[in-house]
Amino acid sequence: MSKTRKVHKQSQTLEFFQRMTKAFSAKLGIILLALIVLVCLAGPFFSPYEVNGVDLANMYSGPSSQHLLGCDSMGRDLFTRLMYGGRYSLALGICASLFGAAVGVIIGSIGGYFGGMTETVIMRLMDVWSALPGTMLCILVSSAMGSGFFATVLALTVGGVPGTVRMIRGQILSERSREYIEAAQSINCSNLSIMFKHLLPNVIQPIIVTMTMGIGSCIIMAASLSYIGLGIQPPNPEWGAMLSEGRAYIRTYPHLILVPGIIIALAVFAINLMGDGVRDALDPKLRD
Amino acid sequence: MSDHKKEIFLSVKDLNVIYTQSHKVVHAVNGVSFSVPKGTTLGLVGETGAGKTTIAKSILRILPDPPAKILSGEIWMDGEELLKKPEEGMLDVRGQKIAMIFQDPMTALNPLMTVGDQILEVLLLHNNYGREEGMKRAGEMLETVGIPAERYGEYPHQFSGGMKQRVVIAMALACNPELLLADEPTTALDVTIQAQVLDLINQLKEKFRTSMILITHDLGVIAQTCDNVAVIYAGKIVEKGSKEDLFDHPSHPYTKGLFDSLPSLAGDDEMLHPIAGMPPDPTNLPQGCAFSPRCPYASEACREGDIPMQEISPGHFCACIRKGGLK
Amino acid sequence: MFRYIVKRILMMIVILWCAGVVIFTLTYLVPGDVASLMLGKEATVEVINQKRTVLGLDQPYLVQLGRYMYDTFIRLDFGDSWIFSSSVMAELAVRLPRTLLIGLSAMVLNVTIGTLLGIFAGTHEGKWQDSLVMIIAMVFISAPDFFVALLLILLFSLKLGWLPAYGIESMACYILPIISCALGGIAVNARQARSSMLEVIRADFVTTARAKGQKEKVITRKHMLPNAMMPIITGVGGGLAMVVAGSPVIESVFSIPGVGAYMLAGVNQHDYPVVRACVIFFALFCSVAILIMDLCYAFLDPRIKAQYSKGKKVK
Repeated sequence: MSKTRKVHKQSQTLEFFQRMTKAFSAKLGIILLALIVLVCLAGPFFSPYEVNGVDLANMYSGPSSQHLLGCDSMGRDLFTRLMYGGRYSLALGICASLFGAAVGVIIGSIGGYFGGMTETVIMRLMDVWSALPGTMLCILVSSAMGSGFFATVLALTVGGVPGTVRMIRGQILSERSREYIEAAQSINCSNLSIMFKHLLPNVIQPIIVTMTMGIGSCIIMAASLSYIGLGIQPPNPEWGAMLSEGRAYIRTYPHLILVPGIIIALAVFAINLMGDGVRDALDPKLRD
Repeated sequence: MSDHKKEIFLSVKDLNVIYTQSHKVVHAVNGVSFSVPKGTTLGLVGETGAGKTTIAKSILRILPDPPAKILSGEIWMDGEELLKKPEEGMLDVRGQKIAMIFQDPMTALNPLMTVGDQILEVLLLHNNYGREEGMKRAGEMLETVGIPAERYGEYPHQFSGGMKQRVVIAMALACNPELLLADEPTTALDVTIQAQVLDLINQLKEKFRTSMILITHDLGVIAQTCDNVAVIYAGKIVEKGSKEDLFDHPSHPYTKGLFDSLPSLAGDDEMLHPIAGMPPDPTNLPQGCAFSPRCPYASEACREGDIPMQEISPGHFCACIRKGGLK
Repeated sequence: MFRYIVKRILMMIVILWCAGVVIFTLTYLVPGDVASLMLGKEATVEVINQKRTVLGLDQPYLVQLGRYMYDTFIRLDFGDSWIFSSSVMAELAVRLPRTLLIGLSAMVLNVTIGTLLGIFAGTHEGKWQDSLVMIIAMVFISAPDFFVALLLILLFSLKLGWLPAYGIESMACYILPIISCALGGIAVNARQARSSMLEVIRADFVTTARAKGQKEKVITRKHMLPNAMMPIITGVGGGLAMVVAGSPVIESVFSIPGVGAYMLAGVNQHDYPVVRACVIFFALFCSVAILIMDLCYAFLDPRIKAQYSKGKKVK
């Protein structure tokens, strides 16, 4: 019995990946993202330059065989900084998206599952929460919490929670009325086990899609925060912070903004392509 | 067969339609031929996915292309070849000469337009009415199908399923079409409403002297409405003839299976007799007779080459090598 | 319908009121003593304490909150800026038109161009035109708007010299900010319009219209478009809120003295009356935008309208 179940589960995961990689764009997204992640993780070990290694002889130098993407205003190697910055940016995006989804799922499933007073209170709170525009909340929280990594993750998370909560609650509401939940209740499953064993697996798909897409928008938001002087601060090489530093030299050395800007767009592009792929692969309507 | 002497209004010859679906080819309609004499009703019977709706949409040329494609065939209406007609010419045929009633009344109406305006649309397209006159006429059409004309300005969501189907019927009959394509007009409705809607279609057909092709999977509906019947299996007609021929002497094993699978009130059978097996995969039809894998009488010969239609009694055709041997 | 509108407006007021408490608390909790931050390191303890008394910071939390709520929501007075001692309300009134000009124009571009592109892509599904539009849309969704803004400055101001890169001296100054605000939204709307167009193209009522003998052009205009527009209209309110809420970033790129820049300056200088006023203003603006769009939606879609006036009909 357990053996057949395992086989079935495996084939489901396999099927998911097969469906996901079927589309060219999703494949492109995955390969591009894997490449970026790999270079950011492994690259710094091979780079001859320090991330904050100042080299006044190479100030503002353009791309060359020694400095692949050139150097910034202090002669620091841009490519090296880009790889270090990628670690920040990607980690911020992934953590914020995961954290946001987790908070949203917990609040949303409590509201959606228990219903009644609990739900009303939670949903009214969400109304208030979402009345404050996400960007504003992000700026406020970031300025209140300071510029640390976790403070920034929190700031990035805070704006998206009401949306996730609403989505989860809606999903749960439609699932809650299904008969299999009644069946589980009739054999005396506890609330918690119904919530995690029965409901969550059935509402997880839209969460996965939102989360994947969320990584991209969190990276953009993080970059925006650094750009306006909040969040991760220079000299830490977060991509948005690098852009912000390059802003002063836009007239004379545009490569200082082009390089980090293009890499942000490229990474988010790859993530979004992958997100589209995930959505299509999970959409039961598109299954053959 | 007296019908044969009547003037033929529509005849379909060797129609072939395919759907292309991500590199797979679905053979939806394979060499279908039939004709509809003026003023008569032809029933197309078959399981879901047998290609009935595709045939109807091919006649109006409203198949979504891509993915659907009419490969070959001829459709003659009143001495005109519809498949060779330019698209602009088809606009005059649709709604005026040939109209269609759709399967699902829930989705067949535009949710943002009043039902009256949706009937008005087809009226204005094919008549020289002014708006006032058209609206009056649309109101009359609503009355004809048993809806008070005051409900002209209401939206589809304010109607029940049966009422919506009445609106669809009013729309189809608004321009007095010579041929009505009714695609499972009662499938989506409650059983009690089904009878009402069928009666309505029958009455209106008599009143306007319309020919009709009725698509259904319900033999009971056929018995109530049709003059002739064609049985479709996997995109092919396997048996056709007058209603009496088919009901009294079903000859193809599939037709027989259909009748056997009906619950009988008179008989003392306690069990139904479903046809064993599943309809074939339309992307990969079996060689020879498509029904052979499920046929209790199949032999090796059934799986070799095409099985031609044979006339087993005047006007009664059957595509089986046993040639009416099933009695 | 009227009862529904009144109910929505009352609810909006309550929500804004709660939002006021949240904003006050958030800014109250920011670590560091505002008075000493404002006066600098050289200030003596007495001077700092005096400043605290002037600003009312020596009062307990609840008293401060009560005063703030009374001033803001009853007297409708946002108070004076701590840094410049000028009326926040007056400053907002000067800055608001600039922010709204950018936000509203960007929104108009978003909806019109985005919808047109989406319909174009949807009607060419699977062909190269579709792929091209969708790839470009994806690029603009993926690029941060401030980076797009910098690229536009680089190209149109620095290289070509056609348009000013900053300031508000002339209307030309607003062109680049509007475009950089709009591009992302155009891309989002194009994707939305395409997918709702695809849904509508396959809808049964479109086949019905074809079976009536209606011309393809008229079917697109009369049956497909209105139905495809519905989900886009729902998104307009939220989209406008997004554009306006993103104004701190874009205004800082183009050095435009709008509400967003005002708020950002307030955040950086711990000028909390300014921050609170700006956030409340944005919240109010977004709530009103979403309410108006919801009402438009109800007006255009008879199904939604029926839902709202149900209570009346039963009587």
